[in-house]
Amino acid sequence: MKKRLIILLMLVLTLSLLLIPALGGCTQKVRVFKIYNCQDYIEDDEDSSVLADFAEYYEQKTGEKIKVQYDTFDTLERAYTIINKRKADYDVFCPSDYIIEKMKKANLLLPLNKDKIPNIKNIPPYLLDRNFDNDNQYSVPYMWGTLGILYNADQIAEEDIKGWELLWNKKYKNDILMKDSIRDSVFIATIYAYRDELSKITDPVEYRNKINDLVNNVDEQKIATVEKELREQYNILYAYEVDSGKDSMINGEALINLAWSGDAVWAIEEASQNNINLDYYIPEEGSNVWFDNWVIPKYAKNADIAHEFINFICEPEIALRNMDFIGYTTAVLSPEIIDYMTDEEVEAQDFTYLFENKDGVMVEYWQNLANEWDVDFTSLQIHEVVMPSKEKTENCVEMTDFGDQQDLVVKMWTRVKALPLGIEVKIFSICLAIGLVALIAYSIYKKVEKKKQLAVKIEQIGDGTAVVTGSRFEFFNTFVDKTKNFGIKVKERYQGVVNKCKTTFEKNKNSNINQDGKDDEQQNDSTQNKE
Amino acid sequence: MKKITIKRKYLALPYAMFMLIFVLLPLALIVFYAFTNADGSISFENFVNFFTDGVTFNSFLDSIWIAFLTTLICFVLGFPVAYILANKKYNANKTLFLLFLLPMWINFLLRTIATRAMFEAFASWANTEITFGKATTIFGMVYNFLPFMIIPIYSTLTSLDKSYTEAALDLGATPTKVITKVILPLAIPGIISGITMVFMPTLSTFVISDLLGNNLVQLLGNIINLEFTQNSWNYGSALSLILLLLMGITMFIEKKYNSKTQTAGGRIW
Repeated sequence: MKKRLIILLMLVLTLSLLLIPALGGCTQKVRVFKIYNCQDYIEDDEDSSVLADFAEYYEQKTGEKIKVQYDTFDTLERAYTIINKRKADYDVFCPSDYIIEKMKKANLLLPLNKDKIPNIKNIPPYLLDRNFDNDNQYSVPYMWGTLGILYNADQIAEEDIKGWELLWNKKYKNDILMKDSIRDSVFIATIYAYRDELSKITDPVEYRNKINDLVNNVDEQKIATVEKELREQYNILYAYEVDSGKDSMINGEALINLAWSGDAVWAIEEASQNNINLDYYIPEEGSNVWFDNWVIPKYAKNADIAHEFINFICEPEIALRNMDFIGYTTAVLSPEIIDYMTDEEVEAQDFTYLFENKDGVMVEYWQNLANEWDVDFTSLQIHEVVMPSKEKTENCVEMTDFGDQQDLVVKMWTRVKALPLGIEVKIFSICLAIGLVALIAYSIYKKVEKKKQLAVKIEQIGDGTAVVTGSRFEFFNTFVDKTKNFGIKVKERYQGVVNKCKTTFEKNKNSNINQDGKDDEQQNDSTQNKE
Repeated sequence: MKKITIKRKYLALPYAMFMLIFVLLPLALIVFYAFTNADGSISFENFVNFFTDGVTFNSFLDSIWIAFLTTLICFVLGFPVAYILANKKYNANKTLFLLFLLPMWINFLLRTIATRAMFEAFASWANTEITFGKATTIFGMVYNFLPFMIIPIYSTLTSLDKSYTEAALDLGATPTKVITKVILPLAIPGIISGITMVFMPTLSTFVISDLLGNNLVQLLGNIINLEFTQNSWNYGSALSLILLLLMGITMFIEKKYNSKTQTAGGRIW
């Protein structure tokens, strides 16, 4: 009995180990609001944290105490997989444009109730109603920026600073960093590969459409062209990186880096402390403009809090805090934010495109607002690392989801990074193959020899009834013996049970026959037994 | 009263459950994904792709080559070290041996990042440029897996009967002959164990080649990582399965030869 108890105890122990997280969840009555975002992509310091402030704000507004949980992912593709396949119940998620499109297609998003997000009015029309999410049914912009080149202004010759060419310039061999992010690298490589074709187009609208078509549609031929360029670039690269490039630039380890504008802001600032002059530009051939928007995934449990959160994030004051902390450009506009973005050393540029809607029409509300703020958007001193000027945005397009073609691009990427097979590897592989074949042949030969010997042995023994030795037969014999023994054992045990049943059955039978007259006696019997 | 006894085998129950959930189940999943395509129907296209796409098989060969080189270097460096450590004269209270184990107390990832920093520091000190690539990757692998070569050989050599070498010397063998004809053959179980312990992890690693190869070195482990992060689990699983099979074969060969030599030589553990 006790033995069983101990086993049971052990089982319970192991099970409880597995159940601890689940039980932990049960005891808490406070709702947990789960945010899924990149690391450090929101202000969260010890003394000042947007997350903590939101919890406080929410409690003040609704009287409900909540717990905010901030989970991070490293690549968007992986985050997508986690939400899609694992059905993770994140309440808000901050993906980029093409992932939003993909999620929309896969039906993984909840539509937003925009009455609950009045602060969306703080976001200029240029950032709203983009193609990946028409009318912002599912998403609200958080941060945005461009893809460009971060370069070391001290060591790169002035005449080389033009276009995407810089990333392919053989002069700077072993000083160039490329993104280990397939979408971004392929994007710019495509523009570079088709530079001749693009330069012939003079009409701006046609040019833009051409770029859009080039970077967002894939076919075998285009992949081959782009692959050639990337392959060529591979030989002069210092590294592929996703996150470490900034540090390499700040240390002066590398001189040229394909960078996201927000990373560049941070790098430029940090490098100035090392006395290194970094600068950033968006190549005039065209580039990528990207948007990171908040969405509510389908499996969210607290969509109501999520709406409040998105609204809270669009508050100008909060947006400024986030921008200051992260370095990326916030989607929200306010006089303070414009003030923050202004850099006296930069030439004034036209930023009125921000107020244009999709059809290129100025939105009156924003024009009035600009007048009210007394800010002249036709000439603002904002560096293009923070916000691209009107001229640059004309050739900037956004990414769309590749869909099924994604696999082709991934395959191409592995081809680009494939090491050329050295002669030593080839020789080694051939030797290995020969060795393996020889080994197999040798073991087969040995087996055959053994069999021959065995056959001789069997012949020697004669009629074949004798016990045959030899590895395989031995195994067989022991197997037969074991099963036999097992059978006997089972039989014995079975016999015992049968015998027991038989005796009890007969006993009952006897007692049944005698029952009528001897009831009392039997009762006495049983009490005696108990004692 | 019944006598209280716990059958010893029940103590293995928690571990058996652990194995079931965290080893067998994932393995079954890998097999399932490897033999299905993206639509979920059964197919062998993943394995066909492995041989025909022109990249993966090459990286596979490259991975084997790099693993082979690493193992070779580890052996060449590790055997003398193990031999010296096994000598009581130099390693009386095992402090020296402990020193060789010391790096293993530090997290593997941290060690690799530190190796990178060390290279950079060296480059700036010597005022040269270091190109991170295949060579640095192999260096990192040797550095990380050297203890795995030293430990089994060391154990075999310490448990080796001294009288064999003494007898050989008495019978007129030169010291080199003692090593090649007596110690080396007797240490084979340890050597084989060391080789498998170095060869197998180097075959599948991707962190070292990422960090020390600047993402420019693409081994099979890197491709598997890419396939999984890019959402094509089927191909990634197929590649993992191939790697697993290769390791199984290595283990099988090792076991076959180890069991033959075990009786004569020293024991590993």
